[in-house]
Formats: sequence, C-alpha cells, structure tokens
Amino acid sequence: MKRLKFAKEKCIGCQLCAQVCSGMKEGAYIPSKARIDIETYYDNGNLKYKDSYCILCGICAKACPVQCITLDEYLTVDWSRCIGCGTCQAKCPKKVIKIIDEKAYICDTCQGNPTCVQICPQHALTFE
Amino acid sequence: MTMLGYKNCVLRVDLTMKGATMEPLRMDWAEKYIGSKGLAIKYLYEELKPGIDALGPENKLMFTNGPFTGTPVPCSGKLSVAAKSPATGTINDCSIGGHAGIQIKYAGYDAIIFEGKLKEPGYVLIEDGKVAFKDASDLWGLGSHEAEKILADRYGHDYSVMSIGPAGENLVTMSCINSDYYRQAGRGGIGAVMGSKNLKAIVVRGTGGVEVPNIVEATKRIIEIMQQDVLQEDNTFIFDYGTTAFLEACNDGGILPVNNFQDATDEKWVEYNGDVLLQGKKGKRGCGSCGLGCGNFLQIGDAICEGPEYESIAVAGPNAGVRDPEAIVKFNQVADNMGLDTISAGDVIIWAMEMTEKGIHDFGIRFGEADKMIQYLELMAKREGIGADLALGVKACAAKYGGEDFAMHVKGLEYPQYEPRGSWGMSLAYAVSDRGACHMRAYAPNVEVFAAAVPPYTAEGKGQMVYELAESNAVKFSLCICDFWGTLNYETMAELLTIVTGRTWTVEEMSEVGRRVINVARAFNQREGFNRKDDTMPKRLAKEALKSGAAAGQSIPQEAFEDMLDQYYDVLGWDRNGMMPDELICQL
Repeated sequence: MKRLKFAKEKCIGCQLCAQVCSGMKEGAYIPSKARIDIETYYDNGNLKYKDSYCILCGICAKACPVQCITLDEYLTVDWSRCIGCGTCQAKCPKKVIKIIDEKAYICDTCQGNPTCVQICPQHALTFE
Repeated sequence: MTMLGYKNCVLRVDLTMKGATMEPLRMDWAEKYIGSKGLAIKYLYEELKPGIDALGPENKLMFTNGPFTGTPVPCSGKLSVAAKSPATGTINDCSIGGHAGIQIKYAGYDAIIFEGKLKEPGYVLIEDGKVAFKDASDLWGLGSHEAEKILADRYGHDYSVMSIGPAGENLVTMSCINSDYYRQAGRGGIGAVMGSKNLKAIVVRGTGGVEVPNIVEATKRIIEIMQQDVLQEDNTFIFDYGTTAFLEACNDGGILPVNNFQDATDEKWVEYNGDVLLQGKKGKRGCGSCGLGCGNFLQIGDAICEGPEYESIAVAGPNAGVRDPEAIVKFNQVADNMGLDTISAGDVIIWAMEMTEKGIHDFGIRFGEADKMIQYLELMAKREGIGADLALGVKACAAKYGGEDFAMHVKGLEYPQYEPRGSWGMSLAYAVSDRGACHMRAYAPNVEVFAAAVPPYTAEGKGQMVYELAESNAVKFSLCICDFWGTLNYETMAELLTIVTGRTWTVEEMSEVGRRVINVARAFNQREGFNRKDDTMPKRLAKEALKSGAAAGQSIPQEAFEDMLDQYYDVLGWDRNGMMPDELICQL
C-alpha cells in the first residue's frame, strides 16, 4: 500500500498542498477545509512544523461506530451513513480529520494519485 | 464585469472612529490595474489629496493582494503595502512576503485601507468578517519581533501578524513593517505611516477561500506550470542560496559596493559569502503559495535571521568595511527588530563613516566598526544621541552636514547595493523609479552584468531597456507575483490570469497594464511636484571613477545620464522635463 510521506527538512511551508487539496475536493482553494495541514512557523527562535497528513493507519476505520469508513488502497467514507459523531477525528493520531456539516472529511489520497504530492515544489511530500 | 479570483470586497478601517465598512472592489479599476501594486497606486491616486502630510491622519495605508493570492499560482503569496512616503513624498508601494496577504484574501478582502489615526496605541484584529480594535499599551515600545511573539502566543500560529518596531512608532522615515518575523515591507518609511496612525500591529486570520472557474482543470494546469516553468534552474538557485547567490556575481561584475560606494569589488568577499553564512542554516522557509523557498533561517553565534538578503549583506558588509558574518547577521536581526529598513539605515551609517573618515563631520564611527554600526541602529530607531540626526536619512543629513556628493540616494530614498558605474542602466532605473532609489522597479544588472546581454558601460539603448524591465515588473507586481519567478513571461501571465479570473486576457494587455501602472505612479508624483529635476544620480557616480574590479575606470558622465533620461521619457511619451502630458493622464 502506498502512503504519503513527509520529509520536513524539505518543506518550505508554502501550504500549496492544502490549497490544491481543497481545490480538487471542495471546489475552492480553501485550506480550512483541506484534508491535509502542513505548515511551518517560527516560535521562540526556532522553526517549527505542523504535519497533519493521513498515514493510512486505519484507526479511523476501526473506530467508526457506524462502519462508514473503509480502508482498501485508500480510505473511503460513505457520507450517506456518516453521522458526524467525531469519533474518527478524536482518534486520528495525525489530527487530520475534520468534521464539517456533520460529515467526516478524510484524505483519500485522491484515490491513489495525490494532488498534494504533484504540486509539492520541493518534494517534501511523496507517495510511496 | 465580475471576475473570479477576486473577493470583490474592500475593507475600509476608520481608525479615528474605530469603525470598519465593507465596499465592493472597483472592478473597473481592477480591469485596468489588476491588483496589488497597480491597484493600490490607483486607489491612492484617486483618494489622497495632493500635498498631504505623509505622517498625518489624511494619509492612507493600503494592503492589497491580487486575483492569484490564495490560489496555488506559484510565487503569488505576497502583499502590497502602499501609502504616500514620508521619506520621499512620492507614492510608495512595498511588497511583503510571508502569509499575511493570503490570510487577508481568505478573510474575504482584496484590499484593506486604514484611514485616520487611533487616539491611543492599538492594534487591529481581523477575523474573517469581524474587525476589533485592541489596546496596544503593553506592546508599544517593544521590538517588532517581541510584539509579534506576544501576539502569536495570544492568538496562535494560525494568525498572521504585521507589526512595527520602535522606529515606526518614532516616525523614523526609514522604518519598515515586519511579518512572520523576518519578512518586511521595507522601504520608504512605510512603518512610520503605520506608526503615525498609532497602529502597532495588524493581526489577521481568514478561513474562507478563493473560487476560480473550472477548478480541477485550473489546478492541473497550474501544477504543469509549476513543474515546467517555475522549477527550472534559472529560478531554483534561489532555493539553494537565497539572494546570497548575488554576492559572487556582483563582485565578479564590479558592482558590489565597498566603503560607501567608493569602489565596487572586494577581494575578501569569500569571507562572508553564502557558503559561509549558510553553514549556520537551521531550516528553509518560503512564503505562502511559493514554489521556490528563498528563505534560509540561520544562526551564527547569537545572531539569528531569515536570509540575510544580498542587500543587507552588502550594506552591512563590504559597503561598511565589515567582513564578519556574525556582525552582518546581527545587523540584520537588530534592524528587523527595531523596525528599520536595512538598506536605508545601513546607507546612512556608511555615509556617516565616510564623513568621519574624511574629517567633514565626526559621527563617531569609521569603516569596519561593526559593533558600533549595530548600536547605532537602536539609537536611530529611538532617535537618541547620534541616532537623532542619522534617523533623518542621508539626504537630510547631507543637507545639514555636507557630503552631498557621496550621499547615495534618489528623492531621499537611499541607494540599494548595486553600483551603477558597473551597470549604467541601473543609474537610470534608480532615477526614474516611482519611489526613489529602488532596485525592484527595473533590475538592470540582470541584463547588463549577469547575462552580459547588453554592454554595461554605455547610455545607448538604456531608455528602452530600462522601460522594458520596468513594464514587466510593474505588471508582475500588480499580479502580486514574486520577483524570483524570473522566467515568467507575458504569455504565462495572461494564461494564468485567464484561468483564475474567467475573463480572457492577452499578452498585449499585460504590456498595457505595465505601462499604465508606471504612468499612474508618475502621475501621482507629478501631482506632488516631481519632475526631471528629481530624477537624479548621486554626484559621486559622475565625478569619481571606480578603482578596481571589472568596471575599474568607469564613471557615468552626466551627459550620458541625461541622455538616458531623455530616452526613457521618449519611450513613455513624457516631455523633456519628465512630465506626462494631459492626454496620457486622462487615460489612467
């Protein structure tokens, strides 16, 4: 199974990953609704990294009380059954799942061809 | 017509009354000036009364992004900050990197205009549609970095902060605005305009987005352009070295200034070159939406900065007779925190060094005195002791104490660190730039020195050459795209603008926008009384030949300079006094 990998030393904090993610999934460039959140910021004279991206661990699928999440080569959420309870969000170790309008927003790696990896200008994000 | 890419909303903040209103963007102006630089100048040309005090409440401080801001169009994460300049009296638009421009767009605005003046020091908090006026009595007097840290701790790292240091508070006309700690709207005293409004900081967070037509197809095409155009070697050098890469090229080309522009090559340049500075690299950081990532976050000894940029290295290094990498980084760090423009602050200090050494006036500092140079920054920001004079800038200091022949400025804006005697077109570019001596309006060394495509030591053809460079940058900065996407041409600009706005744009229109932006800036300055008499070069360039390096023996005869001015005015259809005729003004 191919997964997203993140090499933080290559990341320039451009947030293009979240922009294209939301562009492809939400119909607008709106990172607050993206299914990835990689940022850098300065704090106390140090450069810090926030690296929320899906590692396909499947914990969300196991935790879902209504079994609406399935893990195959990528994650799929059946929104017709999702009740927006937030269990997956609470359990997600990478804190990447969002609940918006009572539905779980989870990365599906663009079904095996992640757009975030395609745009990442310094190859900090890879899919391997 | 409506164009996508824009939010079609301007936030107007009345600091005197502590109120904010939203109004539609003047889409008719957006069609002619696109955004960012051009649109800001157009707004200020229409809204500012001629002759106002740049530090009075009637000046307006405008933050303007563009249609690409917040989209994945590469290198589009910048923000224009514009006002009438207290340093020059001209229009002044600065470009700041970081993430603030994108936050403003996601908060729902193409532009924010600050008007009036807060009664007490404060900061403005913008969260999407909400605007709040906050007390800044605990921040006033603090360094810009210290203020940003407090605000970042208070609101979190999802917010962008733009702040001024003591220099801006004290209305020093070479003060800057900082964001993301290490990014600046640097020049022309834009920080003093913010300080004159008692505005210590702007804190902004946006959770909205940007819509474009056919977003899936648009995204795919933008990714292609990123891979095929942006990420090629002509651009990616900036990732590896930042602007330190220019040091060797400038030294080889004989345009690296030494000891306040007394010479233009330094045999010791390897002592503070990029490979030395970058040994202290702790990480990489670019702006939002960037593909290239020029920022090198580094530490040498106790000194920390992102950069240092070529300009800061040159002015605090060879041009100050200093070769110590730690001192250069420290100079950069202290200037940023004090809220001073490294170029102007550095230039006035190195002028004072030469004044002292020549015995014209004793400013108590000589070439090579790095520690004192750094101490002077704080004195200037606080207008204390010797700093009270130096904070006036090199033009005013030279008027008071002499040394005007080597006071390196145009219109009161101090010289960037590219020596024109080795790149004659640069003397013209500095002279006709819309805000005094600026290297970002037309960058002649690229053509004359680095690419060696045009002979550097001649006036011939330089009017047309500088115009073409200026036109291209005027439209590029109105699209709000970073200078470092150097391979960007009008075809790609027009294609991207068409993709993002849904209106078809042509290559010819890109050229027309560039010319219009140059003209509206000139019209603003002309209305303030500027003409040929102000389009000058420092006397040193005509009177003294360079002593060493590739351009040894070169000076720029005054007649050659005047010839270049004539050529430039002719290209633009301005008269020989540099005045724009009424028929051109009517087309703005």
